[in-house]
Amino acid sequence: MSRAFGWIGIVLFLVTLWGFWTEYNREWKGYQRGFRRLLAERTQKELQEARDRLSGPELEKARAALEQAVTIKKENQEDYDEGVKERKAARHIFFKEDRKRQFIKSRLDAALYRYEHEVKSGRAGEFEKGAVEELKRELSEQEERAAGLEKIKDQAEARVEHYDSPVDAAQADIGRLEADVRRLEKKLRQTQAQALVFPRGLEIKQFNLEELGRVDRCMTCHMGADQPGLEDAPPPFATHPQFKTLLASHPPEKFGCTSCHGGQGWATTREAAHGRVEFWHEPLLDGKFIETRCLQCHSGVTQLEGAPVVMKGRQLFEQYGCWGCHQIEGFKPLEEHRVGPKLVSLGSKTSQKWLEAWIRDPKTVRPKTRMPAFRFAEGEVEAISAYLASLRDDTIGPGYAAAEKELGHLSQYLAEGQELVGKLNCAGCHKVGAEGDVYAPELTLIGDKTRPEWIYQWLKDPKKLQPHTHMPDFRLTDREAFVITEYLASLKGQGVRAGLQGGVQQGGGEPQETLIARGKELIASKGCMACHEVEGIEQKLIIPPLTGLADKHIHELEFGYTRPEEVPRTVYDWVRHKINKPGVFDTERIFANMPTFNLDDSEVEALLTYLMTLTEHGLPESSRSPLTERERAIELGRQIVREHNCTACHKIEGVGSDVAPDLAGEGKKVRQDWLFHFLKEPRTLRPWLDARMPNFGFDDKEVTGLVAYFAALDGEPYPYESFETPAPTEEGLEAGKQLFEMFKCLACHVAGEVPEGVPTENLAPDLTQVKHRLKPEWVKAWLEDPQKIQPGTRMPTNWPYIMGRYYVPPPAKDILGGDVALQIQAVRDYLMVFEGVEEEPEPLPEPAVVPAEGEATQAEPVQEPVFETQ
Amino acid sequence: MRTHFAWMVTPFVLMAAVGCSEAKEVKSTETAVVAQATETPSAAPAAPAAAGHVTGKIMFSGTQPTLKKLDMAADPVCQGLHAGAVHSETVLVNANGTLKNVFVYVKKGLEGKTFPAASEKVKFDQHTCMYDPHVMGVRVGQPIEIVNSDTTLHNVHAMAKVNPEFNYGMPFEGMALPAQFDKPEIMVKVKCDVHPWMNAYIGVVEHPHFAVTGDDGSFDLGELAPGEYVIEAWHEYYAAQTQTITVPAAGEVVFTFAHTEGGA
Amino acid sequence: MEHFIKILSKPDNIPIAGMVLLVFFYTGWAFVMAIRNDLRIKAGKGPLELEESGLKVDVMPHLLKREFIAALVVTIILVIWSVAVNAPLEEIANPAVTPNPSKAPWYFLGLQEMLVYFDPWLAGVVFPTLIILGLMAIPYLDKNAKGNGYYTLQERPFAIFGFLFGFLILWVAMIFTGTFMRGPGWNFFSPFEPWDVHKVVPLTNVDLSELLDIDPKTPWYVREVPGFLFLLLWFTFIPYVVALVKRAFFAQLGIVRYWVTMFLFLFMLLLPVKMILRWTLNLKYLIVTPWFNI
Repeated sequence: MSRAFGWIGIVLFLVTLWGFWTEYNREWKGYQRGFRRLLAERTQKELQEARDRLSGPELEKARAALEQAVTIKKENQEDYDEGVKERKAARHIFFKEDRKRQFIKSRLDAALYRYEHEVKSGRAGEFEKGAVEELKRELSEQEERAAGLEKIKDQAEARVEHYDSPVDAAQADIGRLEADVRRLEKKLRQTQAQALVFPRGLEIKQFNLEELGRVDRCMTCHMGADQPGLEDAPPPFATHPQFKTLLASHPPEKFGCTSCHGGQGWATTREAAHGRVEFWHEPLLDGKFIETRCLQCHSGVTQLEGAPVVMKGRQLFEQYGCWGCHQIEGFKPLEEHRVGPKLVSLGSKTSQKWLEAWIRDPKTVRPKTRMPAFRFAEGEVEAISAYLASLRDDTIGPGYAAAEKELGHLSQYLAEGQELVGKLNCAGCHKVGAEGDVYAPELTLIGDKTRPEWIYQWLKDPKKLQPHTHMPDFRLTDREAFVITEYLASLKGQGVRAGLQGGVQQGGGEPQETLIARGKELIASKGCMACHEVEGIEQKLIIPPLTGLADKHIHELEFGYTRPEEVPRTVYDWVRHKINKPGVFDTERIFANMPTFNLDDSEVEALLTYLMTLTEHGLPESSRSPLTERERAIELGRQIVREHNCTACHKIEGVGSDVAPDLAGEGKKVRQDWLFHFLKEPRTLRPWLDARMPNFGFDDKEVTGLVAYFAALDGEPYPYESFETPAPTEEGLEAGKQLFEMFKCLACHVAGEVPEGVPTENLAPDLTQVKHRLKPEWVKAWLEDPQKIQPGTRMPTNWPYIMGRYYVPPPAKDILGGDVALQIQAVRDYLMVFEGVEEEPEPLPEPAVVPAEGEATQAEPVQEPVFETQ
Repeated sequence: MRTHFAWMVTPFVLMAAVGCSEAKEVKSTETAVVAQATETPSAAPAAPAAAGHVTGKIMFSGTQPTLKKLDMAADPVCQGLHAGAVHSETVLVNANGTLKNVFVYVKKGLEGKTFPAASEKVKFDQHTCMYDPHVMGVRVGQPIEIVNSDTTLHNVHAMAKVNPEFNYGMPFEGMALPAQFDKPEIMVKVKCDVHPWMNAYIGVVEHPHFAVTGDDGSFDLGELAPGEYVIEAWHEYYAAQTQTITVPAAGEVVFTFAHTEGGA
Repeated sequence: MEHFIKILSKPDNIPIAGMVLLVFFYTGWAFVMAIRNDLRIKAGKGPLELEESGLKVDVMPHLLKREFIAALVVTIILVIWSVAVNAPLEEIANPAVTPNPSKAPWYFLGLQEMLVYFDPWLAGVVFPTLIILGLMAIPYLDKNAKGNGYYTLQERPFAIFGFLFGFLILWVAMIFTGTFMRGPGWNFFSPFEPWDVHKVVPLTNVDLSELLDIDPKTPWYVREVPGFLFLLLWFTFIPYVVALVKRAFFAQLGIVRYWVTMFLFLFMLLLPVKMILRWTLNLKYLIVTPWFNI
C-alpha cells in the first residue's frame, strides 16, 4: 500500500512537471523565442558589417590624430599642468573682479535713479550728480581691470586648450565614426538579453477591436509583420508584403488582421488560428481570395489598387449581365437597361438560318461574344428562330435604296470603305479580321449576317434601331455610309451565307404559326428576357438571387453525381464549377436552367472571387471607407468611360490609344460649359485628324458625370467654376496684338475658317474659339511652356527658358519692358478677345534677298542654298 | 534543354569570333548575325593610315535612289526662296560613290576615359527653310547656337528621348538661342512643326572621336590610344553598321551601305 | 471504421464510452458477488457480508490511505485530461442556425430517444414525473425484506430484474444509442456508417385508428376506443393474469401496492412495446386526442 502510494506520488510529480513543460512549450512561445533569436542574429550581422565598414582610412586617421594629440599632451605634461593651475587662478581672479564690477554697476544704476528722481522733482540734485560721476569713474576703472583680467584668463585657457582641444576633437571624430557600432552594440545587448532560453516577457499580443467584434492575436507569432526592415526574413516573421500600400493604410490596431485575411483571430495555435479546422467558417483566405475582403469596405469603387482580380470579376458580372437574372441586394449596374440588344426587327436584319446557328451556339459564330449557349431540346432552336425572324421593320429599306440608286455599285467603293473604316478607327471597338477590340460585336463576317439595308440604316442613326446602344453616330454623309456598307457587306465567309435573301424559312415539319407560338413561349421560359427586351413577352422564370452566396453552408449545395476528386467539397469549388459548366451538377431530379458562358479560366477565377464577396457578415458601417465628392466623381467618370469605351480612341489617365487627343489635363484646360455642349453635340475641332468625334447621344447624367470627372481628375472646382477674369488695358491689348503678330501664330493656327487648298497636317486649332473653350489660366500656362503640359506637342515655346534665363526675341524686348510674365498675359488677354482677322492678314515678309558684295544688311549673311547634284 | 541551347549558340559564337578577329575584313559582325539584305563586298584597303589615327570612308554600292520632291506650298516664303524643285536629303550619294551625312563615332572602347570639356560653340542654322547641317555631331555639354536665318517662322523641336525634349519658336530673322545636351544620345531628331519637310539629326557623344561624312564620304576619328574599339556608322535611312578595330590599325576603316526598301 | 473512431474519440463522448465500460464492469462485479452469495446461501452459510461485518480495522491508515491514493489518481487523471484534451467547442453560437443533429446532454438522451416514439407530453412530462415518483415510491412498495445489505440474485429476482431492465436497457442503452447511433435529422445510422445529412428514409406512420380503418371523421372519443381498450387491458388484464400466476408475490404486496408496482412496471414496459409496434406496424399513436397522444 505504501509502495503504491509512493509510486503514485512520483507519478503525480512527474505529471505536474509535464504540465509545466507543456506550458513552457506553447507553440506561440516557440515562435516568439525564434523571433527574438532572429533579431539578435540580425543585429549581430549588422554589427559585424558596421565594424567592417569602420576599419577604413578615416578611422585610422582619426585614431592617429588622437594618439598624436595624447602624445603631445603627455610630452608637455609640465606645461599643461602649469597651465591648468594658471587657468584656475586666472579664472578665480577674473570672476571676483567681474563680480565687483557688477556690484559697482548696480550701485551706479541706483545712483542714476536717485539723480533722476531729484531732477524730476524739480531740484538740482548736485549731490546726486556728484555721486553718479564718482561711480561712473569707478565703474570704468573696474571695467578696465576686469577686461584686462579677462584677457589673461583667455590666454590661460587657450594655453590649456592648446593641448586639450585636439584630443577632444579626435575623440569626437572617432565617436562619430563609431556611432553606428556603439548603437548596434547596445542593440545587440538588448536583443540578446531578450533571446535567452528563459526570457521574460513572452506574451500574447492581441488587438481587441470592439467595433468589428474581433480579437486578433495573429501578431503573437507574426511578430515582424509591422516592422519594415524584415522583408527577407523567413515566415512567419517577415514584414507584411506591400507594406506601404496595404499595412500602412490599414494599421492592425484599427483593422486587425482577420478582417482582411480571415482565420480565427483569437486562437493561439497555428492550426486553429489559420482557421482551417472543423467548425470554423472563416478559414484563412488564399492568394487572390484575400481581395474579396477589400470589397467589404471599398464597395463604392470599381477600380482599386491591389485588388485587380475582384474588380475584374465585378466588371465581368456587370458586363455579362448576370445581374439580369441573379439579383444581388445592393448591386446596381451603371446602366440599368439590359445588356443584350432589343430583339426587334430581326427579320429585317438577318436570316433565320443565321439565327439558328447563333442561338444554338453563339461562340462558334463569334468567339468573343458575351451571349451564352443554352441547352436546348429537339426543335426548340428552330421555334425560337422562327419567332424572331418573323419580326419585321419596314422602315429600314428606303434609305439604302435611295443611296444605291444614286451611287450604284462600283468596285472602288470597297477600297474607299475600307480606308474610311481605318480612318474612323472602327477597330477601336470592333474586331475586323485580326485587328480590333472585342468591346463591340466582331465584324469579320458581318456580310454573312446582316442585310446591307440594315447596316446602312444603322450607320446613319444607331439609336433609332437600338435606343440603348453604345454605338455612336459618326455624322456620316450618305456617301460615306454607303461605301462603308459596301465594304462591310463584302466581308463574308462560308457557313451561313446561304439564306440571307430568303427571309423567313420554313421549318421542317411543323407549320409556321405553331412554331412561332412555341418560340414565343420558349423565349419567356428559357430566360432570354434577362438580357434581351422582346416586345410583348414577360419573363416566366424564377432564378435564385445571389445575395449571401459566400455564406452558404456546404450542406446547402448539391454536388450532383460529381466525385470529390473532380469537384472538391468546398463552396468555392462548387461555384467555380458551376460558372464553368452550369449543367455539371444536374441529376435526375435537378436541371439547371443557367446557360453556359464558356469563359476562360482567368475570367472564371475573377468572377468567382467577386461572388465570394457576397456575404451578409460584412464589416460594420463605421469601418467602411467613405468616398469624398471628388473620388465619387472620378469613380462615376471611370465607369462611364469604361461603359462607352472612350479609350478606344482617347488616352485617359494614361491608358488608351492615340488616334484622338490625349485627355490628360482636360479638366484644367477646357471650360465646363463648353465641354458640356461639346459632348452633347460634338464638332470637328481638328480637321487634320483622320478620326472624328462621334455623337454618343449621352443623356444629361452621363455628360455631367464626364464633366465632373475631368474636373475632379485635375482638382478643379465643380460645378461652380471661377476664372481669373482678364481686365486688360488698351496698351495691354495693343501689346498683345503686336506680340501675336510678331510670333506669327497664324502661320499654323486657324482663325475662323479652315483655309482651302492648304495641306491640313500643318494646321493648329482655331484661335477664335479660345474665349469659348479654354480656361484663361490654362492658356497662360500653355503659352509659357507647352511641352510641360503636353510633351511632344508641335506648339513651340516662344519665350524659351534655357539654362536659367528667359530668351525674349530682340524685336519683342521693348514691348512691356521685356517682362516675360506681362507679355504672356498680354497675349492671353488678346486671345480672349480675338475675333479672327478682319482684313487681309499682314503679308508675310518678302523672301530674303541675297546681299550683294559689300552690302551688309544683316548681322549674318544668308548662305547660298547648297544642293547635291541629283 | 540547356545543352541543346548551348549547341545552337556555339556556331554563331565561333562565327562572330572569326569575324571579330580579322580587323582588315570589311564584313560587319552585326550584319552577319542579323539576316538582312545588305551586301558584304570584299575589302579594298587604301593607303595605310598612321598608327593610332583612325580614318575611313563610307562607300555606297549602287546608284543614288530617286528622292521625294518637297512640297513647300504651305509657306510661300519658303517656296520663294528656292528657284527650282527641292528634294529630300534622306540619301545623298556623292560623285565618288560615297555616302554623305553618315555619322561615325566610337561606340565602345573609351569607357572610363575623361576628355577635356568642349567649349567651342557649334552653329545649327535654319535657312531657306532647311536645316544646316542636316546631320551634326556634338559633345556632351557643348554649347550649340541655334540660328534662324529666314524671315519666316520656324521652330526647333528636338525630339530627344534621353535628354529633355524641347521645342523653341523662332519667329524672327536673326534670332539665336543657346542649347546643349547633357547626356549622350544617338541620335536626336530635330524637326520643324511649321514646315513638316524640315528635319535634322544631332548625335551627342561624350568624347571627341566622331565625324560626319561630307561630300567626299570620308571621316577622321582622330588619335586613339592602342586598344580595341567598336566603331558605328549611323545613317538616317539605312540600318547602322558597326565594326571592331584594333588600334594601331593598318589601313582604313570602310563601311559599305546598299539600298534596300525600308532601309533595313 | 474511421467514422466510429471519430465519434468515439470526441472529447465529450469519451466519458460516455467510459461510463458504458464501467457499467458493464460493475454489473458484472455485482453479479459475481451475488452469485457467490447465492451459492453460500444455498449451502446454508450466510452471505459473505454477514461474515465480514465482524471484522474491523482503523480508519487511519487503512481507509485514509486508500482515499488519498484515490484522490491522487483522480488528480493525475484530471491533470492529464486537462492538458491533453481540448474542450469540445463547435461553431460559434448562431441563433439562426441550428446544429444538425441537435442532441441533449447525455443524461437526457434517454428521454430524447423516447421522443421518437411518444408524444412530447408523455415523453417529456409524464414519463420523467413517473420515474421520479416511482423511485420515491420504491421504499413503500418494496416488501421484500431479504437481500438487505448483501448481494443476492435469487432472493430479489423481481427487484433486480426491474432495476436492470429500467437502468441498463431503458437508460444506458438509450444513452449509447443516442450518442453513437443517431445522426443528422435524428436518423438511425449504424456505428460504422458516415453521417449523411441528406439521407432520406421512408418514415411513414399510421395511428391505431387508421390501421383499423376507422373513418377519421368520427369524433375522437369514438374513434380511439380501440386504443383505450388496449390500454385498459394492458393495465388491468395483465396484472390480473400475473396475480393469478404469482400468488405469493401478489399476497406479499397486497392489492394496492401490487397494482401500483405493476402499473409502474407496465408503464416502463410500454416503451419497448411501443418501439416494437413502431418498427413492425409503423404504428405512431395508440390514442389520438386533441390534447395529447399516447
